[in-house]
Amino acid sequence: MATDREQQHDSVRDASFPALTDPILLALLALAVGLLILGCLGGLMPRAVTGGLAALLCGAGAALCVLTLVAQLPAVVLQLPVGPPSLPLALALDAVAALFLLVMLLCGAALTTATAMSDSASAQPDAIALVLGGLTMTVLAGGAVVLALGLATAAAGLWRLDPSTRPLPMIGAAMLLLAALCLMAPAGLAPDFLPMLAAAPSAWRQGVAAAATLAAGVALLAPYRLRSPSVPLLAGVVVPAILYLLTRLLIDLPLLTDSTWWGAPMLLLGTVAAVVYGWRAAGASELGNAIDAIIRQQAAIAGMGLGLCIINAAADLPIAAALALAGTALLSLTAAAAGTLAGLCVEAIVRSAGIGRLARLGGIRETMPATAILLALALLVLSSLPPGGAFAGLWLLAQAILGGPRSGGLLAQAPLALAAAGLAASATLATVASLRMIGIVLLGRPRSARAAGAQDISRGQKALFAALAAVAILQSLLPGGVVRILVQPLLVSLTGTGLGGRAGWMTLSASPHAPGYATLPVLALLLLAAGGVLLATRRYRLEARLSAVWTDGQPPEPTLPFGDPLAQSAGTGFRPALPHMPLRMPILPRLPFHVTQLATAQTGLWTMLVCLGGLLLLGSLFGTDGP
Amino acid sequence: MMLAALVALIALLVHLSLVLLAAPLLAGVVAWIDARLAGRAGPPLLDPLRELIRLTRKAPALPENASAILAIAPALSFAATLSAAALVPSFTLGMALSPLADGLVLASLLTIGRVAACLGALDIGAAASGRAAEHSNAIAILAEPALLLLVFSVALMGGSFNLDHIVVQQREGLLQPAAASAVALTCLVSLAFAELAASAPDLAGDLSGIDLAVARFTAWLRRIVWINLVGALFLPIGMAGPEGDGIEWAIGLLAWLLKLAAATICLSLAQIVLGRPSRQSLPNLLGVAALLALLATLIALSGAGAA
Repeated sequence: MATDREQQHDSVRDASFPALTDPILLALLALAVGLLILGCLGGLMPRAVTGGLAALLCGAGAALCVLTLVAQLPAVVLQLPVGPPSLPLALALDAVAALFLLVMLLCGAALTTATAMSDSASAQPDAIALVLGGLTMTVLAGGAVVLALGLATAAAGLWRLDPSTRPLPMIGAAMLLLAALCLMAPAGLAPDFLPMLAAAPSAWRQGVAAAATLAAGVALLAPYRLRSPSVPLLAGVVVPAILYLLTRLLIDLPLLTDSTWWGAPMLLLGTVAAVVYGWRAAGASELGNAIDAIIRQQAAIAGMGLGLCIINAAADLPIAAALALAGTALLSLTAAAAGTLAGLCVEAIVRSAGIGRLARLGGIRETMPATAILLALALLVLSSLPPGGAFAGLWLLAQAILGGPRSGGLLAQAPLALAAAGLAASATLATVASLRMIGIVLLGRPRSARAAGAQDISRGQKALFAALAAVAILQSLLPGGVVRILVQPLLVSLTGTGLGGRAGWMTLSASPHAPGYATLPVLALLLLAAGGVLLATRRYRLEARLSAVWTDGQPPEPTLPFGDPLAQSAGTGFRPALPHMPLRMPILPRLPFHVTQLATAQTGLWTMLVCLGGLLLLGSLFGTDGP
Repeated sequence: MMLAALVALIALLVHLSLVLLAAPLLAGVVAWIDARLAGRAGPPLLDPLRELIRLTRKAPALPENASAILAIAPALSFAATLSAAALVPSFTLGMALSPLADGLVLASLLTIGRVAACLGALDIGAAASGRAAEHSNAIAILAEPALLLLVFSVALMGGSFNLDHIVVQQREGLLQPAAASAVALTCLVSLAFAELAASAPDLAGDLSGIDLAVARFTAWLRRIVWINLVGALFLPIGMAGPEGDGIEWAIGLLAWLLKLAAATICLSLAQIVLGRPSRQSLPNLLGVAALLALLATLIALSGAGAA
């Protein structure tokens, strides 16, 4: 990894006048400034004009990022002579920044266009432009000063979107990131990325900086800290920016060696967050909260990938690190596109139906068919089922665990085992949450007059949402192609090696000549089997007898024109009840919560398993390597 | 090369034919054995086939608020289960779809089958089918992570998620450490018992006619998938290799039939001795299976370091 850092530094230092990257960086800077101007002055213009201009700027920026990635342009640094001489404003553009900026600007373009088309008085394209401008500056930052300025601007934009949003968590996160960068900067030099890459800071400085970065990530992603004013903004812009910051500060800037410790905490934080958010998504009573939780869950799973990358890179396993990073990138791309689409569809449903409670919606497929289809597509992409894009990301993370380090005994392997368990649990919870939303909101019968009276989105919005769905579906069907074209430069930049033959156009595999995951063949198998069954049954199907709506024998209640609410599932039973504590022992102190009587065989089995686990743990502590 | 591809395709077609034929027959055998163990005469072995034909001849009843999902869901559920069945080897390795036989894909295909059935159950908004969908998902939150973690543990031992690769490792005795293998087997048997013996929520309550026939067939096919999975991962005795000839195929077929029979008898005996898991005790059983899978993963990870 040290040789790769030297090569990276050399490639930046020697690219004084590259053919294309300097103008691209200047153009992106101009774009960011344009967004900031729109953010400040956009309130003076009509909403459609502000949103349209912002969408144009974002679209142009996304195209420039695609050019940077596809042409594999070298990294470049620009120092603006603004501010005090010892603290010039540094900007940088490399593969890492280009990929996350592409995601943000693409989703930003969709978001600002949707806001421009919206009839709602609460739509604020200028505030969204301010957030986009601030976060673009953050991603283009080549040092701590521009990064902090960008975050502060984005915080101002979020506060304008929703004045009840507390700015303290974001300001606190910015301060923590600033502190982390200052710790990693060599003494006497400005806190810019280039000096940090050239002279690796001491281990304790890197450790404290990593701890500050992890704390900033928790502050930004924990829902009780930063309530997202707009779910599509969270999915398409804020989460990719947070993942970029974590990637930059935890993987790119530090020197990953044997003593690197922050991989395991990152992995475990991501695991816990993924399971918790998945559990919330599977039980949320409000549609907006459920989508919010799913998006945060996807971000947490991507965070797990960063942790795996750090662990594997520190153990000198570049291929496994590249697999983990590729999984993170795929999850970021998929969650951004599908999450933005899902968020926009949910906002349209809530605005049209006037309510967001799952128990009061239902039958949206009848009243808003286009929105229902698009939301269902987005949720299926996010549901961790093949051929969805989230499954491809999970598959790569699973390969990264499989290829991870095997030394260090049981305690060192425990985070990997827990990560595998967390990955399995969060995949299932994402599936259940998506199925719940589709089944309760889109299917069934309307549960209220407002749900029955919802109006579908306009033709312009249908075209926009369909374009976003096409992006999400393309990413899902061709994950190997996405990795080859867009993600490979990031992998080479951070791990020193790409996936090479492991990422085909249609396939992903852990080794070049081994079978792996092929999206299109799996989809073809499913469609072939389903088509065969439908054709076969069509031959023998008799004409159906239509009957009235089934109410299980109950006569329709005249005072309940939309049916008895209890006669239709409200989505409250999709999660199992959490088990009670099984033990009560007289010698224990009085516990503040209720415990039940000691059960018999089941608790005995649990006790045996816990004891076996404890024995294994003790064995590892005292030096044995397990059975 | 062309000849090898042709042989692999023939193997797949034979495998699919056997699986589709065995599904309803095995359902009849299971019902007969259960009845005999309970001291009754037992229904005819071909009763399930007669039921399928009877349902096909009935005109389905469709509520007026049903959508296309109610019609497509049974077919999609069957397609996903059949795809899963096509990936799990029965009598031979090296079938045409073996490059796609990834453990995570297999587990996800079984999930797609369940999800499709749940969507069909939620389509018309009836109370009973909605409750069944809720219960099915509540159970799945415990069962599916256990299955995925089991796939992890077996992949850690075998070095790959590909089922054919894992089976080859198992045949050569390379699925180490043995303790992890034993714990994984216990987990898989627990999951199979929970899946096959527990009274499953009736997700097909809104279906009738040929759609109900497809849903019943899907349930029988799932049983075959689980039995094949246990047999392939932990009892690949007699299974023909990737380049097996006719004699090896015949031995593999015979071994598969014996494994089917043994699994059926063991399942029926287990139901008699342990009883069917009730709705209240099913979460405990699945929780234990999940813990066993985690334990197998831990042992596999730490054992690989010691090796």
